Amino acid sequence: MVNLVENLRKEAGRLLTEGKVKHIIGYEMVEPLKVRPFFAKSADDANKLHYSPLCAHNLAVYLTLEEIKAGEKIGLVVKGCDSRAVIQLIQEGIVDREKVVLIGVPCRGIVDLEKLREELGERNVQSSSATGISIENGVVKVETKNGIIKFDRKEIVFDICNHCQNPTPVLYDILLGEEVKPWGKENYEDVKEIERMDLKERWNYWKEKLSKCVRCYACREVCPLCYCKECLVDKTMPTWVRKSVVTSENTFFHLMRVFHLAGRCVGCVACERSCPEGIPLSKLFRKMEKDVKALFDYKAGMDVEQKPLLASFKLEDPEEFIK
Amino acid sequence: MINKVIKKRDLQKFLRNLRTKKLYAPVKDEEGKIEFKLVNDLKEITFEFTNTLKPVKSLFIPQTETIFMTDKKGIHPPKVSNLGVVFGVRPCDAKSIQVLTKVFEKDREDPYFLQRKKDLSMIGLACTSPGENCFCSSLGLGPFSTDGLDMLLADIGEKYYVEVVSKSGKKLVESNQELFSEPTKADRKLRKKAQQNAEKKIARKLDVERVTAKLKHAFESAIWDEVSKICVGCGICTYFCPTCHCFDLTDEFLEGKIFRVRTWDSCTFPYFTLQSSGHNPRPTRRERIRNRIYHKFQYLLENIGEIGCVGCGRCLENCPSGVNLIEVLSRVGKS
Repeated sequence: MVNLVENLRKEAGRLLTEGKVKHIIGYEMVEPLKVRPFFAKSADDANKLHYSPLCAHNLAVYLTLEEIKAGEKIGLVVKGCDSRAVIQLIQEGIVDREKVVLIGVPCRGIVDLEKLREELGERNVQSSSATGISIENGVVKVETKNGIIKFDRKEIVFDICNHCQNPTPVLYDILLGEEVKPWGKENYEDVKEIERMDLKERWNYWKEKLSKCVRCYACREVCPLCYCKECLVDKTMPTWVRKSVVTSENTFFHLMRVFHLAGRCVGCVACERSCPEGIPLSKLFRKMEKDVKALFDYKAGMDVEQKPLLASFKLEDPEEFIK
Repeated sequence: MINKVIKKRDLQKFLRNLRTKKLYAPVKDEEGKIEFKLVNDLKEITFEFTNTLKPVKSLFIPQTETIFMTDKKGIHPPKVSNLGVVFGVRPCDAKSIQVLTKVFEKDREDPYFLQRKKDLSMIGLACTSPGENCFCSSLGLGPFSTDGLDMLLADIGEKYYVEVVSKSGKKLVESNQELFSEPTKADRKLRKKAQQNAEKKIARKLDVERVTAKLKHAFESAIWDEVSKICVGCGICTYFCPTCHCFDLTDEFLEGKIFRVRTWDSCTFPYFTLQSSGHNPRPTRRERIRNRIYHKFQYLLENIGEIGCVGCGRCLENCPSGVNLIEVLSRVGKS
């Protein structure tokens, strides 16, 4: 982990001093357990870049900003899922491959801070007493003022990370460290659990979850693939979705997002992580991902040469809907 | 100020007696999120929490409310009823209602907000264990402050130490006299200790006086460019803020009726200031973040004599990209 951060700083410093990129979007550590996106503009800034198993943000979202698209070449730190979002953006013609240097980080899982806080609480450890965090060989080590506390990775990373099939970036220019093999299986058990519910039970489940939505649109704003200039829910002439924050309109908003991301969502679940109300959005998006895979044998964001799902067809595509 | 104590098991009786009116209190949901809810069963109330996810403002200004409905027969105003009793309010949230009252009373009274506040009893729970993002002490408040409350309860072990702040609070105690007793010397000591411990736990600090002075000349500062870079432009910092109160008014047509609806709005959204000409006076996140901060630490101060921040730390806690209000303002302070 220390080597990784050193390498990152070295590579970033080189790219910046050699003028290969205008700036690098990475992470900085604000507090031992708090990291956030960071725009490094100089060699000095490069030394502030950081990486830890808390670097959850999918930084590809910044590639869709107008000033970044119009600007000069930049560097971007990507994990496996983030790199797939970049591939998808390249496929869709939003990102110019020539204008971005991808600094790949082989991901060993991202720690869910909420789970970590809970676990620390059970051990009577204040999360503010933590001084560092690292992940190696399936073990998460939290350094505190009173020694190191170890956790099994599976218990403490985001659920989604336990399904991850692409921990190593799929696309990169520089890879920091060795490739990482997937440690979990993709069995869509979380989705199947919902599928097993009967219609009424399922509707009640989602009604309850979606009634909590406050429409802060954090899910939309953190999503790298949600880059429409004007979102359907913001349109007022005509109004498609009422401003009233009620279950019907909330449901429409979320289902609309799922459909608009069909064959495009790369499953980073930045949306779910950003949701202050804890709505299990990953279950909706993973259902779509599972169906897309079953119907069209397609996985989003795997190959820059591949065409987006909805812009391509195969002779064997199912067509039961044509009557 | 009158001081009393109440045994923990008597608190249940007290709350039961309060239920002659509606009672709102913090309730934990399935996901472990704490929200103010109308309480039917006293067992639902949770006492173990740092703060509620949404601030108490959500009871006073619901996210969605019908201002009036109109159909062929005429215009029908809604029936807005008093909230009754709100229990378990943290001191920061209680202060926010004082700030909001000044906003909703100024120039033109807002009947919806004021009706909900009418005959209100707001009972606070002192923060014996403030959260890691709390900074109320920088705003002239504290984990045991009583601004905006009728009564403040502080956990001192077997009992709650009760500070009766207002006439309404006094009435509540008088009508439940048998449940309250005079604090002993030991009770006073415990309360003092609890307050000191709590105050020590508040690690984050902000020099508000310096910041408000500096802001006067920082409108064109480069700081705004820097801090807005990572902002993703969602509405979390405003929706979950106890003092943010901007709203939108729209007409919704449903089943032959027109509803004029008031919903929360957020200055962090581009549509907040987009004009019909297509011009947007706050075209980027730089101007939007700046506006939010100026509104809180400058404009409100000029308009109602209050700062629009109570140090609850919700914006720090929930921002998906880690924008930190204290850090932004500290940079302004140092500029």
